[in-house]
Amino acid sequence: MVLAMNPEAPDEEILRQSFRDPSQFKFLVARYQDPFIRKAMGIVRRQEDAEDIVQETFVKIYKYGKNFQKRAGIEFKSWAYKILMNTAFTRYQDVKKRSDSTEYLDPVLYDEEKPLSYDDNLGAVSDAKAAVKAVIEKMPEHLGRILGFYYLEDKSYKDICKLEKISMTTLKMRLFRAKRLFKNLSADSIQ
Amino acid sequence: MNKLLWKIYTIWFLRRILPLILIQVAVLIIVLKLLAGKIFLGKIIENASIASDSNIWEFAKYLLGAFLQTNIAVQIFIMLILSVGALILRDLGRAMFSYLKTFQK
Repeated sequence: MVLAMNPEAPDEEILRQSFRDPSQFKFLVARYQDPFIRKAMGIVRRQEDAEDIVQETFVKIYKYGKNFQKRAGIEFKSWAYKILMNTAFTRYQDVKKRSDSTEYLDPVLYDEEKPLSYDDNLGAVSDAKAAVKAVIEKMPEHLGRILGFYYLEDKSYKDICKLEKISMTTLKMRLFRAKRLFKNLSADSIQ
Repeated sequence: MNKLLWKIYTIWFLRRILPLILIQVAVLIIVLKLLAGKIFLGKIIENASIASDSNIWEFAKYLLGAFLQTNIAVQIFIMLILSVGALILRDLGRAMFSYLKTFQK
């Protein structure tokens, strides 16, 4: 017999109860749906995509919830956000692949805390692209070039490896360094 | 939200209810097959209706009498069928109750 859950109960307790009684999961959805959508919008910037991501995230939370065990320093909230971010990034990549004209910026390249507003027009996106280009030009050539291939020309890892005649590992390493440098340079140019 | 809750309910049903019901139905079928080799249920019902003369209490009394007089293996099979049947009804009821609770406003 499952007792009615207190909506104020801790997340972990609600999740545990929902395995016996799925109606309890409503409380978790009500608690996290809006913040999740806001966070997902910061990545994909389309309401429909954000809603799909959030739905998928909740399904994953329920599916794999049994694997989640509260350990010191790990809370349900951080675990759930991790799932949300992974789902959102996967979706972001899909959206990017699906449409060549997608102009969303990679979340790595803009401040996640303050994403661009939803109604930014194409002009603003184009300005952002110009700004990205300007920062890339300040970077060492070999790093700026692969960042440009990847983010501005939407080339795949494989294509970039062929063009640059480097291995996949080297490319990933360079891309990582390029992103980090890009962040620092953009921060400097804002200041 | 309903679409999401529907998915959650489906996962719960497939994980918690369906396997139980499948096992119970499998047990029920096996026991019924074993029982069919030992008694002829149609004939018992026919005899019970003749003996009871359309009186439901007499009908039940006849069946109970027949149950008590039969051999122990058949009695065990019948008890097993009733128990598994009750478990199936309980699980279906639980699924229905959870469904209503999940989707109530």
